[in-house]
Amino acid sequence: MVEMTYSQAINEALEEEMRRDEKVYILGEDVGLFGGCFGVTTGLFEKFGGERVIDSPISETAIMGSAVGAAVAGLRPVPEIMFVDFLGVCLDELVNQAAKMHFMFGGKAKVPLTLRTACGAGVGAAAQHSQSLEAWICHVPGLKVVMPSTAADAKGLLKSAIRDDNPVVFIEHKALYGAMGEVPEGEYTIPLGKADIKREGKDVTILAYSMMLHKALAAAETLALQGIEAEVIDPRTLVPFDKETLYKSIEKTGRLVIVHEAVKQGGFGGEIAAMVAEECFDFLDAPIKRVAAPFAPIPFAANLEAAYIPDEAKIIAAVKSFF
Amino acid sequence: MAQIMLMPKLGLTMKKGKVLSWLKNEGETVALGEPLLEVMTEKVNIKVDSPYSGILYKIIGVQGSSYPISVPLAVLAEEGEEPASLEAALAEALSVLQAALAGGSGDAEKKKETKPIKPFTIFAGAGKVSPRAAKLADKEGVDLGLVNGSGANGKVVEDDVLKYLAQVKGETTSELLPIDPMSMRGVIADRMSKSRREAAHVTLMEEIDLSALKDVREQLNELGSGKRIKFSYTDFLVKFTGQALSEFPSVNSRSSAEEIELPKEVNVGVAVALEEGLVVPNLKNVPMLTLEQISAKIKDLATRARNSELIPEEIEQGTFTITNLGSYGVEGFTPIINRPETAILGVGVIKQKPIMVNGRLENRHLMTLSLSLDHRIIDGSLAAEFLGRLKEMLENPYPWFELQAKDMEDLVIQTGGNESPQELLEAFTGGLAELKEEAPELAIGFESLMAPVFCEGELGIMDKELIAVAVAIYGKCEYCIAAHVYNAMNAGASGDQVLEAAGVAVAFGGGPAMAYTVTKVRACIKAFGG
Repeated sequence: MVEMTYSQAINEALEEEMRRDEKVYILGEDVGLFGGCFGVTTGLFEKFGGERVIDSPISETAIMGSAVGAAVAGLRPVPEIMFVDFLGVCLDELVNQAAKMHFMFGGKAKVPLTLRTACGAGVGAAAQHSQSLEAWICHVPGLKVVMPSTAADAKGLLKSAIRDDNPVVFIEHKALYGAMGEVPEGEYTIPLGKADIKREGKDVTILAYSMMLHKALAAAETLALQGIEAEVIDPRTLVPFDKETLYKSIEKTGRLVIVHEAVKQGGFGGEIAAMVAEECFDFLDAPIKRVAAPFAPIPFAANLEAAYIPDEAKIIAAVKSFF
Repeated sequence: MAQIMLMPKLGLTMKKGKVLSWLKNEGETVALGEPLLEVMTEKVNIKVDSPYSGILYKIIGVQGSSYPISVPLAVLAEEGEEPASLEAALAEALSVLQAALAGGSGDAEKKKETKPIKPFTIFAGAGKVSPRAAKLADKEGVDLGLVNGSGANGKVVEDDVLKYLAQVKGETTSELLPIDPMSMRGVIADRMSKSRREAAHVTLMEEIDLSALKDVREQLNELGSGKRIKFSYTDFLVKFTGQALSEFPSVNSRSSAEEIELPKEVNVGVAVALEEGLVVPNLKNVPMLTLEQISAKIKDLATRARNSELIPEEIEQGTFTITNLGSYGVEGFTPIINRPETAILGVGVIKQKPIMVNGRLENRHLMTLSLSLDHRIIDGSLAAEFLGRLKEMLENPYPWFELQAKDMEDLVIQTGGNESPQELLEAFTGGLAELKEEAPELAIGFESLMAPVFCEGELGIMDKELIAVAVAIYGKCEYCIAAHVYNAMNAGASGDQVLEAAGVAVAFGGGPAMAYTVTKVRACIKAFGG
């Protein structure tokens, strides 16, 4: 194992995949010389040159449009959209083109692109640069959605995403970039669609991903002091979703809390709750609880932002309502 | 004016930065926008430009250390600025820095949480059942009406159905642990039941006033502080018990069915609780030991008992045992004699209690001693004499240590009710004055209510004060009585007039009002008249 940041792990995945396959290239705003607005692509421009690490114009439409075309033509683009909040600008290219081509051309076209973008609040970036919009994308058939929570997962999943022949939206959390984590040495990949049990427990299942995974783990430690052993599951990819791991856990614990940073209304937690209610109602010994952000734009004021983001205390309160 | 330079936020995700180096020295001039220091963030090293121009007065952000954003790193001075204003700015910057760093390290000391209380279910649930419980009940044919729910709002959950099933099937849920006769538990079980069966147990309990011993202990600990000696109450109990035992040989005895053994030695055992049971190592020949030796020996025996390092002779040859449950808050109990000994002393908790001493209520430290004796060997009267002797020594320990008795005046409890009229008056007016500082709204509010009431109106001040006297008596407030008798007499009322007002109160308040009239009102008339 090697200690590195989430950001360094992503950087390593990009470098390794670019060395492995010369069809892989990066493009986006300031990803080249500047190293990306969060520093994730630092050093790649120097290593691979401007043809494979392309500084694009400030146009999400151009980034996505060209990436879709290049992917269909046989390259493996890894475009970066600086903030998931800007996805709206290029949603047509993603949703109507990238997601649909394989289906509409009877399987003859492949769109092997990996869109990297950053989500999440907690850095005082206010309403237009802090959202968690994964539910939008999860609603579109044809797109895979990955949301890693640790450095090791980020690296292994990004490598799988780049090798996948379908368009993958890879959503990083901007407040996790500096988080240190243990990363296996050498070459490895993590399959898309496989959840990870980050902590075993018998009394309640907490499903959480991205930044919220860390808050769920912290909550689980506090709950353990009070005699409640929580099992914490990180789905890692939302589409495809690993139902089996979740259902097995609920069969054991009988209780489920879903935690995400996105607003609760229309959030992906609602989809998970509905799946569980439909398919393993009889396992449930308590109502399903969701811990998520309130239905409001993200405030800039630090105290309001802190109150807005789901935290350990809210997760603990949700779990304790069962006991 | 002095300016405080803060750790800048150099990127969207930056939370803290490390000071790599200062590019200027203290005392050097810095221009606005000139590089002042180099900071390392998670990503990169960045030269930070000075946000002000002036003289770098003081660097407080230490090279090589990390600081959260917006925390003071340096103080910059204006040309020719007064030292006083610079020092003020520096003090402010340091206090902000310290507060920020203290706040940041808060998670280091996580408190151990106590287990939360899960409230009892008081009423049966409203028929709510979890799907999981319903499925299980269906499978097992359980009538859910018979199952009490323990979930939120009395909902029946799986656990409730499982418990119900276990109950109706008569399944035992208890754990069975065999007793190995060779284990410590086995030996204890055998010896305890044998002692209880054979010896004719009687337990005498006596309350001991430890206030003097507490003082002796404090004095001796003061004397022993140089040697880092801290005596415990147990040390004293062992010493005095040893002394009493040497005076009462039959209590210091061992017995069998055939004979009574009166050992020459006084070997006092001290029970030590271990996780797996109890052991009683003893101190040999206690009357020969100094208090310091006793203290060290008890600590040593207890430590080695916990580490299973006692040697057999330390457990054998005991003549008497002391067992202490005081640390658990137990007051009195009936200890079982450690055979073949013939008596055992149980030590209870030391509690502060108000007791009557020489006709006064005093705050004393009391402890109950429980002496169990084998009535086959020791008669009750003898045991009582022994306990009485022990009590006498424990309550008057000074001569045994050649110490001076402490003045116990401060133990007298001030019960109130005995204040003189002047004291009552001063207590109220003085208290009101202090309250003005502590809670000005309350005190001023009270005064602004009183002032217009007690002014000259259709009724005169004296009449109003006399009414107040009657109301105060009826309200059973001795402070009000003192204040208003004083005011009434100041306004010209005679003692007879005050007594007449008191009569009105008595007409309404009966005996209690009469009692206040006879005592407080009369005392106030006497004190404030003329």
